Amino acid sequence: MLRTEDILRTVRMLQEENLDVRTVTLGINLMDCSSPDIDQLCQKIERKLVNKASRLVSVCNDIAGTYGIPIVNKRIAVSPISSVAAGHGEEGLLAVAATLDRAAREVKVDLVGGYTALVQKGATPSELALMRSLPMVLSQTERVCSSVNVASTKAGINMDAVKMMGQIIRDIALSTADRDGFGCAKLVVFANIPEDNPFMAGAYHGYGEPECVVNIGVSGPGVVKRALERFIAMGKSPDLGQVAEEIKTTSFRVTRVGELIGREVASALGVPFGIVDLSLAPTPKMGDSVGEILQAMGITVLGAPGSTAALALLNDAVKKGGLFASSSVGGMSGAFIPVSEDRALAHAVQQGTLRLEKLEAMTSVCSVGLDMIAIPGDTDADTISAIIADEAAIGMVNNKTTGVRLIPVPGKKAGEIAVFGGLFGEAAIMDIPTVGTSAPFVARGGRIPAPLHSLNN
Amino acid sequence: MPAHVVISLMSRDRVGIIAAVAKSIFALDGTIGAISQTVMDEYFTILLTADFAGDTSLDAVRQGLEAAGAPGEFHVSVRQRESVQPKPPQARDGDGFVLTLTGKDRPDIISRVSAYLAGRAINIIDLFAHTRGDAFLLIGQVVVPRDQDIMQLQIDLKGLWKDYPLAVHLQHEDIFAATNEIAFTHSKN
Repeated sequence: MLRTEDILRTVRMLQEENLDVRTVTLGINLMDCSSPDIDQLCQKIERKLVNKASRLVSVCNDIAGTYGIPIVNKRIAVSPISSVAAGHGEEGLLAVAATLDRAAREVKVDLVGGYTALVQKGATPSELALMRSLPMVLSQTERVCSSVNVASTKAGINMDAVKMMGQIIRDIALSTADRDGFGCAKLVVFANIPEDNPFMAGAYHGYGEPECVVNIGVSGPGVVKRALERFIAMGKSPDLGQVAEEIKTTSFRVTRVGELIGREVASALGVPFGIVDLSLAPTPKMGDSVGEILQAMGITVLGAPGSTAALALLNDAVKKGGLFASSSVGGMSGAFIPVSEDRALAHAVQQGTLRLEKLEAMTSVCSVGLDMIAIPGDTDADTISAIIADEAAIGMVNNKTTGVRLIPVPGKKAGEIAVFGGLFGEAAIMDIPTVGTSAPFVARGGRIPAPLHSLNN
Repeated sequence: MPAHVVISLMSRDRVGIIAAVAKSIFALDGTIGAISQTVMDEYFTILLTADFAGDTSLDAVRQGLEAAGAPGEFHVSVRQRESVQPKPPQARDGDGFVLTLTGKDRPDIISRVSAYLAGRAINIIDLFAHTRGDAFLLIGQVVVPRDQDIMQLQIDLKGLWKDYPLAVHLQHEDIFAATNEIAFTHSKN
């Protein structure tokens, strides 16, 4: 029997606190599309995507209407294209990317992920070709998203790939210079990439996944923030243990909504339900910010001492609530801090209180990494590579996922504003104080060996 | 032949009413089948079913219960139940939804919303309403026929009191179960 307060709390969460399902991502295996003929390969991919995903958007819209819960994004994740299109070279990869873009438009999903290479221990010719193709693919397609996994706890860090990605990110930025380097927003460089992550740009359909699967990304920074504010407004000054408990309870409810919607969508599409990714994913909307949650905890200036501890508390409480709510938790599952997409974080960067070094520290206690950070357009490739290496090291050593989504903004300098639009938001370009000093380290290449605790058999 | 009865009893609330009622029924050789009880604005109400052995009359049951309280304290009504055979569970021809209305009180809220629901063949199966000062709260569990357009219902309900501070929401009951119950159960997949 539900209590009145439970009912009202749920209604409030749905109606007033920006609770939504951030993404329903349909994972589709494309490995069976392989063909020695590139035209045939593209035809098979397009046919399969349209066949499997044609009902995705309408089903999501119907279920969102019935439950009164918005499903903000409907997306597709596919098998790593570096494997699907192996042997077809850069030209073939471009044709496949165009096919993915066309199919995504046809089934009306906003993004398709899986233009992916897994190179943590070394790269195949096809993976190298995919990486080289990224500037063209991400500038010429609208909906294709890419990810490159350069490190893992088991394999170490492939520094040759890291070096290559620094230059590639610069080239992508130049190829989309008219949009403030926006092409880079569709690429994540990972350590320990998850196979079932539903969030873009890093979603792909892993080798261990079934033929088709529905994965859900819930959100809800607004719900957590309001719950916290209400709790604090009740009069007593809660200690941080009580704050964690309140966040945990809220996370439980948010996750449950995600699982409910996910299972409904999966059932309607006739495919298995995969996971709920219980990440707190902010949007540029006021009140839908991870930074504002930290402020509600008492971090009045984001980036000030205490920010990392507050974020650690938030991340842990979110996980604990979510894990109790669902036996199908996966993906990245933590608090995201994508700078341009989070109003409070973007403001802190603009004010100069939140700097790259602090963000890097914060990524050691949350998901996912240095995300949606605009940097000066003249940042050299080796500096970008070194930032990727640092972030990958945090992921590798701490046995967690970390990612880097840096956006060099051509023609703009630190302090200027980069505008990406929509959910991608806008951000002040961040200063990198020691720029141009990392080349000797990055140039060594090779592989940073896996840490001792990777040998845990 | 045993008497199968349904009893309602109302009184000002105090400690010990259920104990007095149960004792009285036991003294009449009766067995309680089911109870629904609440206290609202200091008034106690109870609805219960009971079976009595032998030829216990309805009047005897009523008088016995009235005598369990102080003189004039308990207002009791006793009726014969038409059937005591439990019906097999019937599938509801619709989905369960929770209707909530919160905001400023006014005289026509319940009459208007219940008329709208009845007009759309929506059955109210449980209703709670409360007024404190000029703040009004209503929570209803309703069954919405499957052929109804939920989004249209939500629009219509919000339109019942345009420009008046009364928030009306109709949400699927599964959401409330999912967000409030410890175990997650789902009939599909």
